[in-house]
Amino acid sequence: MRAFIAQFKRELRGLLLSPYAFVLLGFWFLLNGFFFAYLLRSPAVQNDLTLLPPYLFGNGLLVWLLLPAFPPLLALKLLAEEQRVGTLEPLLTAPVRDAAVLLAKYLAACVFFLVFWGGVAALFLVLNLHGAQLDWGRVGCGFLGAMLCSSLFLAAGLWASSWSGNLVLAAGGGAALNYMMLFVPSLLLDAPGRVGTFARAAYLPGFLDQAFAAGWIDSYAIALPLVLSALFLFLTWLRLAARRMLA
Amino acid sequence: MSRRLRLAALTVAVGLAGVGVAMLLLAVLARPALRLRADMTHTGGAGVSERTAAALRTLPEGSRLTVFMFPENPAWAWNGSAVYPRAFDRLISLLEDARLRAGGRLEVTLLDRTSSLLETEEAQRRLGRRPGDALFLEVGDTRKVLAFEELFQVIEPTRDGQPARLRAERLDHALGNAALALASGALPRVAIYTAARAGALYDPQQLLPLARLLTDEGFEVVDATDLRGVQDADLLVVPGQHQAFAPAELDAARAWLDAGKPLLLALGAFADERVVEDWNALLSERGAVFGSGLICEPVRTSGGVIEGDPICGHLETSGAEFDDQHAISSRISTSGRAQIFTATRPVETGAAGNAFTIARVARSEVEAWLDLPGGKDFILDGAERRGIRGIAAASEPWMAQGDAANGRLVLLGSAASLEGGRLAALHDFTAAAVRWLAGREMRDFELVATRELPFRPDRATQARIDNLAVLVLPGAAFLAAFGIFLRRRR
Amino acid sequence: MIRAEHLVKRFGDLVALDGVSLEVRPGEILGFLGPNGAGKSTTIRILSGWLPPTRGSASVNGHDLVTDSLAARRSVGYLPEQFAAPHELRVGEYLAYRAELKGARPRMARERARAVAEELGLSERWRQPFGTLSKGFRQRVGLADALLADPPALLLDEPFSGLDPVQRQEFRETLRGLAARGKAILFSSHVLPEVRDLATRLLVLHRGRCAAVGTLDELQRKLQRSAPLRVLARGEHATERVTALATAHGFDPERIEAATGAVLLRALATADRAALFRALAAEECAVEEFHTEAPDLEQLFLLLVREPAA
Repeated sequence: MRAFIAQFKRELRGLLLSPYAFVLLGFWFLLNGFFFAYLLRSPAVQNDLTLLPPYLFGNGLLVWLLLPAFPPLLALKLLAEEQRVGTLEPLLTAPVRDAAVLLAKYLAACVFFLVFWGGVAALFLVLNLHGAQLDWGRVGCGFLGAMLCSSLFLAAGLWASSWSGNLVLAAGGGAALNYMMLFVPSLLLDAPGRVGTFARAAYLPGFLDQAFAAGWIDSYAIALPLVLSALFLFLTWLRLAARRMLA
Repeated sequence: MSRRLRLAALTVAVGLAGVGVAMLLLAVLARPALRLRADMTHTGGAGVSERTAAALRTLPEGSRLTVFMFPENPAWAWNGSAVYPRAFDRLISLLEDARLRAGGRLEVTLLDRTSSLLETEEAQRRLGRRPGDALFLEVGDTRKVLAFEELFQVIEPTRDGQPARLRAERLDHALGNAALALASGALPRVAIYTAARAGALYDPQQLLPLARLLTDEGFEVVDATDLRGVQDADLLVVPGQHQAFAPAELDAARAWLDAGKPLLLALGAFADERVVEDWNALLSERGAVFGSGLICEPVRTSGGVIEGDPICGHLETSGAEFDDQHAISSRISTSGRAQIFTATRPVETGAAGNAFTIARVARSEVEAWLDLPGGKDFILDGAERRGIRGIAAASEPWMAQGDAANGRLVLLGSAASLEGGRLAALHDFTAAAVRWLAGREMRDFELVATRELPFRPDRATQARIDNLAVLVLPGAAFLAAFGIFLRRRR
Repeated sequence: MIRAEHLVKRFGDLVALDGVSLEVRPGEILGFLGPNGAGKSTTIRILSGWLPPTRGSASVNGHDLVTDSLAARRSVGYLPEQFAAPHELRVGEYLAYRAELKGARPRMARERARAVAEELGLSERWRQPFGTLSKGFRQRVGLADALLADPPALLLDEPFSGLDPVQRQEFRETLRGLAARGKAILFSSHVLPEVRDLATRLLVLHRGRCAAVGTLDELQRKLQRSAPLRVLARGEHATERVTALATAHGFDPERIEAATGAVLLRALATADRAALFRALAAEECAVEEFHTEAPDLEQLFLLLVREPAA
């Protein structure tokens, strides 16, 4: 546990002291800011602010365009960068389990990603200060869904990051994987039989839109990203173990 | 096989096993019976009510719900109206909850502009959909069709450019009714007492609107011309009474009340005094009786306050004149919805011991007076003093026995309001009263207010928000990045 | 303390290690020699737990590196050949983090990091980011990292590379001190004088196999027979005559020293020294020198890596 905490603190500190992470954060804020300002000018949203959470955290551009791309860009710092710089060898020969290292890295990235969403939360607060009536239940659930989805995309990015020391490959692979997780089920939603059922059960934007952004805490909508995140963490651990075994 | 190949194969196998376990776990957790959901919205009305959920669970396996989400009324989409986006957002959210709460008995199909044209065409043809039909609930060969207007109340756009707005929704209740109607065919029965008014139940100028309202509320309506034949009904509605009871009927009315069965009794200002006396004799022990006279209120116009205008027979009550604590009136009170009572007799509430709890659910304003029989019509004179008068009262046993609805009673001082087009102005109150009498909890039946205040920031506010979103936050992040970079270089 | 038995490591078709066995006892410094690609780094990486052996077993402090990897890793401090740390972290931060990672409580970790930094002359660099350190100081940080948990065994892969002579001297002293405290040290190096000065025993790897192991004296004695025979004769055409006679008596003339005219001969399987000496006397060559020199480490190394693996 001590090793885990040490690694977690080190990763978080590494991210907080990384110009790269803050540049990424800047671009995230910028794109989100444009999107937020654009939505807020929409007459429909002005007429009914309850539409803002589903547009922002549900089935909108943010989820389909930005969200799959940014977590892998952050996750490449976790393993691919270590491989490139050569710090992975001292780390994995230290007396600490691979699983603890991975979990610490992953959780640190998740915590740092809270800052990403914190900026968006600040915009809601400002809106509220200017007299907008917000349903905080819906907004909060929307954030929860977006954060869970981000954590899944981070886990997928971490897995992609474990395959190569090439940063472009790591980020590109992670983003491609995340886009696939969105697009493949969306194309199969209307498929008959089990394929359609499976696609609907794996269709993340559906849960973001119909559960979280609609103000629901839904056990399955929470379980889906959590179980998939755990799967990607397991696959990353397996990748590291295989790397040792097959080296 | 080489050791390396064996290890690689083993790794792939373990990875695939992990994927299998994850899929299995998700398949189990996706089962409707294992889904736990908590509604976090501030209205608490994101999902279906217990009543609707129970109704949906009585549906047979293979029931289908097909929803058409097409913005078909152009007026409701003008000027950035949020009517359709918001309504469809609600439909999606609530029907997903309905699907889950139905325990796998309900297959929900949502069709909108992004759906396959072929699939939409096929569904329209199969269901014989007409424009405006929004929701089809099918059980075997029978189906229930609900139009958009039956699910949502819309305030029309105004000439000065105000867009259409959603006022309220009754999606949950309509869905529950449809499910109940299709599931069993055995709906709760309401008897409408129409003695001496043959055919009134089928006359749009008389009681047809009330019968429709009760049907919409999930009742089977029975035309009762004689109280002796209503004992097997679940609810009795007396929408005015034009002739006094024969002794046998009086006994039947007493027996109804003694059996603790619910009653909505409306007697207006011009009801026969013998009728009022008969009922008052039955009701006095319950702490609420009808008074005499016509409640009048001064009418305020641009020319000032007019007293004595015949129109004072219409009492327009604002939210403040409803009991904000009682199940019948709380939502009307908090939403500030106006209701109009026509030709209203006062309802007096008094001591009834500890057996009953009585609430004056609607009252007049403080400037009201009673135009008493024998006095000059609608003019405040020396015999008539100003003060608050009861318009409607609700009574129920202090200690509920058995069914929650046992012994519930609503006294309404206006019968005319329940007739013809006037019912539209008292729709909310009547529906709420009927639901309370039927023993449903408030959350289950109330119209869900969907109106949020529009947010129209002025230019300065808009600019401030834009600046924060597009300049300040990203700028701060870039500045932090630059600061860290410089610090490192040093 | 450090023990490896019949280690085999294959990378695809390439056999990097082929049955290497070794043992390093407490207080011993084992110098690991071998040309590039001999398998030195691979052996050390296996002993550090970074790579698994294809066959064979390895243990540190009695803990098997495959079946009890965590305990084995706890017993060893490892300095990789290309040591790297996160560039943004200061030396102090990095060492404290590593101490914590190796199990120390946060406060203890900082104290331990301070102590090791002081011991290795890193105190002045305590607040300097790792990315701004010179190669030598980076190596010291790596060694400090290896020493943080005070492990009983140390694995150092090319610890002297990139160090200036002063730093090397300090480094040597440090390692000697550690060995005196009972630590088992295994280090690899290309710098033969460093190995000669520091190692209490040597292990020479060649093409993945153990070419020789022992103290310098033992190896010298063992290889003396293989050392070249030096023959210096005076007289007319002495060099040509010595060369011809040597060839006839089973020797391979290796080279002729330009300054002295001495001929260095490598003995072949059929070589007969006594017969050569008698032939030289019979030819009336004025033989001034006829002897085999004890090889120095460089010669030893060359001898071993030129010979077929033992």
